[in-house]
Amino acid sequence: MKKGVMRPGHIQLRVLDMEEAVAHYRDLLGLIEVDRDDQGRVYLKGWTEVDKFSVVLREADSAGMDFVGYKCVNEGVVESLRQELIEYGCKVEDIPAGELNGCGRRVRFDSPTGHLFEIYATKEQTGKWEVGNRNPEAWPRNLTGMKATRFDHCLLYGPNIAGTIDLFREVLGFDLAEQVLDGEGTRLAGFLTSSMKAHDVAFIEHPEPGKLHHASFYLETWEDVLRAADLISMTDTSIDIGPTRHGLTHGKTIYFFDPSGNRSEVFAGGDYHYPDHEPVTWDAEQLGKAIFYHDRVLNERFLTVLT
Amino acid sequence: MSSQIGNPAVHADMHQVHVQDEEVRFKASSAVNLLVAMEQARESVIGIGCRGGGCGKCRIRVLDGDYETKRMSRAWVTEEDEAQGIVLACRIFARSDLTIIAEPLPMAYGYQPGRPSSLKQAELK
Ligand code: FES
Ligand SMILES: [Fe+2]
Repeated sequence: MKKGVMRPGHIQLRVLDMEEAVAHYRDLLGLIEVDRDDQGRVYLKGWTEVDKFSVVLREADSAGMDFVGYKCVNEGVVESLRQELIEYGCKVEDIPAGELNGCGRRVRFDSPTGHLFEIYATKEQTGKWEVGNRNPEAWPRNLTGMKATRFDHCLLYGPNIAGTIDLFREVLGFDLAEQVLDGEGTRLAGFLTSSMKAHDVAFIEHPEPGKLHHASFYLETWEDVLRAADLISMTDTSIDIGPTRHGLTHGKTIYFFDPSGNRSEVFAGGDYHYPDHEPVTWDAEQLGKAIFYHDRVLNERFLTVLT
Repeated sequence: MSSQIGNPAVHADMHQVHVQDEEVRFKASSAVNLLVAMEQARESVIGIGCRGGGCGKCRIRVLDGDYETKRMSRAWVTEEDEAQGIVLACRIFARSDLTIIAEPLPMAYGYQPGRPSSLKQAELK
């Protein structure tokens, strides 16, 4: 049941070399660089995103994800969910307004899978980049690279996904859109949505806590995915797999890596979800097809190469 | 000497890489990282992951030889490790012939394309 959480609003990624990372996210993915702060963090967004930023890069001595934040409809929702998170047993930290440039107060909380999440309601709205919302043209003419339109979701690995999935459903009001069940009915993967999208976040069971599998960005068409693949070859970017299609969510996709080893995805299409829909279930024996619909086998990297 | 890292336009030297205890040798250009050099030689003695120093799959120990390094994730290679020649193959560039051995982390879960023998060896430490 919806409780006022709208969408994935930002992800902060750790990178080993900032300028190499900016070349990946800005020049290759085609995100718009919108700001840098006095900590040296770089802020970016997809051109269709109305809020000021959705990706924050932080230079560090390890790769991976610091946190992912979800935007709520208003501050009242943030306040009441904060209380529910505490009652649920989460360790909650209040991050003051302005800690991220242009972002209001955030409530950060931990989870059974070892990931840090945030909710917030206030962020500077700079509008769709170069087109705005008054008689907007179809697209800006000066985009680069893959022309990624938005930060869409992330896939996270950790132990006890049952716990984190319960937290997202019960406290944050996400719906379970798709799942992978083994023979005993144990959930090995859960794809959750706070909207009509096939997923706004996904979890796969894994013994190491707090792992990032990929951060994903939306493209309009399959042709755009093929063009992204061309750009990956032209720039000699580390490829994982694709272009192909996922069985889960049926998105058309390609996986590749940023220069610090964080996996990126760009994808197009995919299913939709309404609150009255039963979750779509994939059986574990069909996991190959569920992940890579054409190859129908997992590559080992999918299960073990994480940051 | 100016760094050749990331600059294939600079004259590249070819070096021999010998994998200890294996019948494997491959050539590595000084202009590409050691993991990519291994892939180009169609060998598979080192685990292939992200190729960006982030995932730890390509962890090896250099037993002999010179190399340059780029920053690698401290989650997989501590400063102590690095001082002992433990590195991520995707972040080093050969500067002489090298002798290496796979050195996967015992805590790294699941698939380790390095030999099971080296996994066991790492576990015993
Ligand atoms: S392949 Fe990921 S760290 Fe080298
Ligand atoms: Fe995805």
